[in-house]
Amino acid sequence: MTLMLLLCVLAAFLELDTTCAGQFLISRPLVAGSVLGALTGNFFIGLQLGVFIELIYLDFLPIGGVVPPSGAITAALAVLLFHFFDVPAHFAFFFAVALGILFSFAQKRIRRYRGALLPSLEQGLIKGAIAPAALIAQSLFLEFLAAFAFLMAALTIIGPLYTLYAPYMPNRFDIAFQFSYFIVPWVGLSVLFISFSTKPKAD
Amino acid sequence: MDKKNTLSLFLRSFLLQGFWNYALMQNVGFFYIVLPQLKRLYGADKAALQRAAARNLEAFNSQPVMSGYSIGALLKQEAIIKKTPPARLQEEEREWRIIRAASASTAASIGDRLFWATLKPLSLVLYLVILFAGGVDFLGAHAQDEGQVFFTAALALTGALLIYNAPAFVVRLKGLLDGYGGDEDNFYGLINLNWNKIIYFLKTLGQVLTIFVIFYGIYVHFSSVVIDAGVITRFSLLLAFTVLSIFMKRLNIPNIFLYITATLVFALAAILA
Repeated sequence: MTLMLLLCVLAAFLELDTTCAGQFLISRPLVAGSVLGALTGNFFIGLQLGVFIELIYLDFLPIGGVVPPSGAITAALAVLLFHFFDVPAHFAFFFAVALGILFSFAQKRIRRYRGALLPSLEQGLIKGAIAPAALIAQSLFLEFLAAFAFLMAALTIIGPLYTLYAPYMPNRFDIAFQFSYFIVPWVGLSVLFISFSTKPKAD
Repeated sequence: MDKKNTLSLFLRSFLLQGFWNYALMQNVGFFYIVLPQLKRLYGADKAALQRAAARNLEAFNSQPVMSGYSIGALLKQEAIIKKTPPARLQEEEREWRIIRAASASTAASIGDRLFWATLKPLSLVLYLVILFAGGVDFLGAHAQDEGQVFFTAALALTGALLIYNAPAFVVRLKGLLDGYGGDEDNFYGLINLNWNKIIYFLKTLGQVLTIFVIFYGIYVHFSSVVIDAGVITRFSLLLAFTVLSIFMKRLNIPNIFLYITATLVFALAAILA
């Protein structure tokens, strides 16, 4: 439990890099997946999950107000479900991707909350009563807390649920998830090729 | 701008999106970046500083790496405003807002295409090329030596992070300096570089490397497979999904939804079979 807690702290910290601070791309799935994989002794699985998540999230660009699904949160969930609850990679990937999309809704709510908070803070900022650094620090802490709480909640709900129902799952179900996992890199690579198109878009 | 102020702006610019909100977007982050410069500029003139603070807290949105061009240009205009007599103040403030709108959106457009749509995927494909070159099959088709995987992946990660971050750091710094030193004639430094040519070159490089990864992946994954009905079915389905994903990309529908739908359809078929 302590290791899971610490790894969730690390993942939540990495998540800040996605949009809030730095954007050095240390939050991208191939970094987060590899790092968490190495720390849990599942380096290759972490690397593979990271690459697959990166490929499937290629379509999402953080342009303007777009909140893409968090690569760091998704990679962390996939690797930690695999490590702590023995969820096979093809199931862990599916759960993590679905939860990654869910987390983007939580992030949108945080952004709306900050927008609603702004009018009451504006005068304080203008008059120098509120330091923008303090406001940003609080905002980063809120993002960190939200990511950490989401990770812990998702792991403690999905992990035990999978363990409970896995013995009753038909083998064909397993094959179905394995096949959809198998198509991910190929679909992703074709999208990767198109993303390098030099032709201007019709729209 | 001296070195100390440039360094302060550069370091603070990493928190541009620290308080991103739907109402005024990056305004608090922008204000945080420029505040020490505003304080230095207006000194003890509290009323002028508050007027500048209110202006600098208006809506701002640009691409984080490229935002330096806007920040530099706006600080230069701020220095002009400082020297402007009260009678012409509104005119110069209007000019400040024109510069903000024009430079932020142009920088965002270039930055989105260069950093998000080109350099980020290029760093991914470079990562995959290094993995393959180091004998690591990320598709997991073959048993692999753990030490070799770790060493190659560490090298690939370093390469991927460098290919994105090295130009990002240079452009971030150059943007601040060129934006501050620029004017309308060179669009606040934004036309000092031929961005379209750079993007075209990088995208072409990305296409070539992706073709290599796809074909090498097919070779690694399918060369040792014995052809039978099962393999043909798998390959046909794979091809169908790849074609479908291309169509979805053309329709601007993220492929994540194709994956989720496919998984649910397969799972339903597994239950019904």
